[in-house]
Amino acid sequence: MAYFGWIPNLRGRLSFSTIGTSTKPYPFEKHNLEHVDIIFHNRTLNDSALPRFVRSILFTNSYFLIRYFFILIQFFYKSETLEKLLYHDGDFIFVYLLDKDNSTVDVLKGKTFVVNSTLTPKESFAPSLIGISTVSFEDACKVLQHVSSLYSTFTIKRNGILELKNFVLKKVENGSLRWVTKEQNCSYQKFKHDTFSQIYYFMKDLCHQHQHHDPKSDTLLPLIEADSSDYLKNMSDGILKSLYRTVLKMRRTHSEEEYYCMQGILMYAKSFRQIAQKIDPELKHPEGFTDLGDENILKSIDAKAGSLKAQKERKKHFISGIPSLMSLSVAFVGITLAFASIVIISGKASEDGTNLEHLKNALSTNSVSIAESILSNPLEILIYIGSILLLLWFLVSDYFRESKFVLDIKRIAYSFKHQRITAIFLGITGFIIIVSAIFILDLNILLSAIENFTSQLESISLSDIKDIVIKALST
Amino acid sequence: MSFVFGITLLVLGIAFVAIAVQLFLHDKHSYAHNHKITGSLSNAIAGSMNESAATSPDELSKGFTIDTRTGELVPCNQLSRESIN
Repeated sequence: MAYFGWIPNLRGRLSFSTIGTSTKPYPFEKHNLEHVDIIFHNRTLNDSALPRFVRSILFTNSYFLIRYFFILIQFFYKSETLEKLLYHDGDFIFVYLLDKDNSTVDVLKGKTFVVNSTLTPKESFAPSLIGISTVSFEDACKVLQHVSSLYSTFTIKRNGILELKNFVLKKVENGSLRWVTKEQNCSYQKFKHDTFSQIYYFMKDLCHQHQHHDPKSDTLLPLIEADSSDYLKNMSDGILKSLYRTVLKMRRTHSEEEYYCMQGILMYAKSFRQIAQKIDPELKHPEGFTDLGDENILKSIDAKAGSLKAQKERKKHFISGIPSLMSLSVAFVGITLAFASIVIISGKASEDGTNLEHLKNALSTNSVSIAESILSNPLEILIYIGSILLLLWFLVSDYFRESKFVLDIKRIAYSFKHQRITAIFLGITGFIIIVSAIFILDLNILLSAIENFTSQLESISLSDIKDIVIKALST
Repeated sequence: MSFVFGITLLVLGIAFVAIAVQLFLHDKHSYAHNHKITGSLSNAIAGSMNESAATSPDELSKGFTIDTRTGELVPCNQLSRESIN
């Protein structure tokens, strides 16, 4: 038995020369040697909603004592969550090793290895591979097999069909396999399938640019377990079913981008159908997965994309006000500075007996001190206002809405049952953080304002200011 | 230093308030769906999901982690990125 998957391509000709050059979802490290090609890729398989540094401080880093507190709790009260957070590490290095001597123009052959980067850092084994330009495939395999947790051989055909076989899973205890997961009926066979799916996702990332979907999504295409002789039928059904399910799921979204991606995914379905037909002209697809309804779907996509485009134009109109807001902030700072100058000059002038007394009396003591601090820190004020406006612009953009940070916060928020209570709790937390931030920023600006203003008062005499103002008025 | 810290806190605070507003106005049924598949706070922070509530295979991200004490591979089926909406 072997596992089969398809690396999406549109012409039935996968480009071998671009393997390892993709930067999505994360960049690869490629080494082109005489007998082998080696590609390293760091992949994190732990999908906790807690930020990485928080997890490190609380649960994994031995330098922080709080970890031992959780270990103690785990000792007395066995918790699945704590078990995962304290001891289960998802940081891996996936290694692609191409056997150049046995590969041809149309078929690539080699092995993939998965190494845990916490237990075996890359520096401990990589120099013995990439440091020798003539390293043979067999020698490289020996080094990698020693450090890896699992490995398999691979064959990639020009049409994008990937075959994974000769699996080796090291250190798996069958009896205690699933105690940390909820699923009850999990067999070793299913775990093996899940595990090798990750190798397929790695190979797919390596060879494919993810043009029509989120680069981090890995569940769009299935890995099919079959015999080498009759894999095509199972594979074809699985792939077409998966592609059409993705298209139908995307139709429920309200994003113009997703609608255009749907067109791309339908083209992948068409391309795969052609490839399958070329391999076996007698192959029949199930009724639901023929190309009969594709034209209707494409027309529906066009209609919906047009409607979404119109909605987006309205939003754009709203967002186009942001540059005006920026200019407004600069103008606001200018006006504030002018006002602050008048306030300070009036104070000085009245001390000197000139006729600006009425202006001084009209202003409260607070406004004078505020004006002084503004005048002493014009750059800081501009940065604050600019930062806040940029921040507001960022908050209304799609980049913020789709960021990992927001998705993770939402995942935590969704874990609570009551929507409104969660929202109020989050709002109050945000408000407290904002107040703390304002306190920190204000404290900073006030201290520097007082310092700057006293030093300026000492250095500038009143007659200097008067001269400057009179000169400015006369010109 | 305190300026950078202050601005970072300000960004975080405003982001929290923005998410709170989004959640407050969020569709109730969509929230219920997301709550169902997230399951619990422990699931969210451990990177797990309520597997029985997954309605299609693409909601499950099949993976594995390693037990750092023994080097043993451990299954880790997680919530896939697409399943939160």
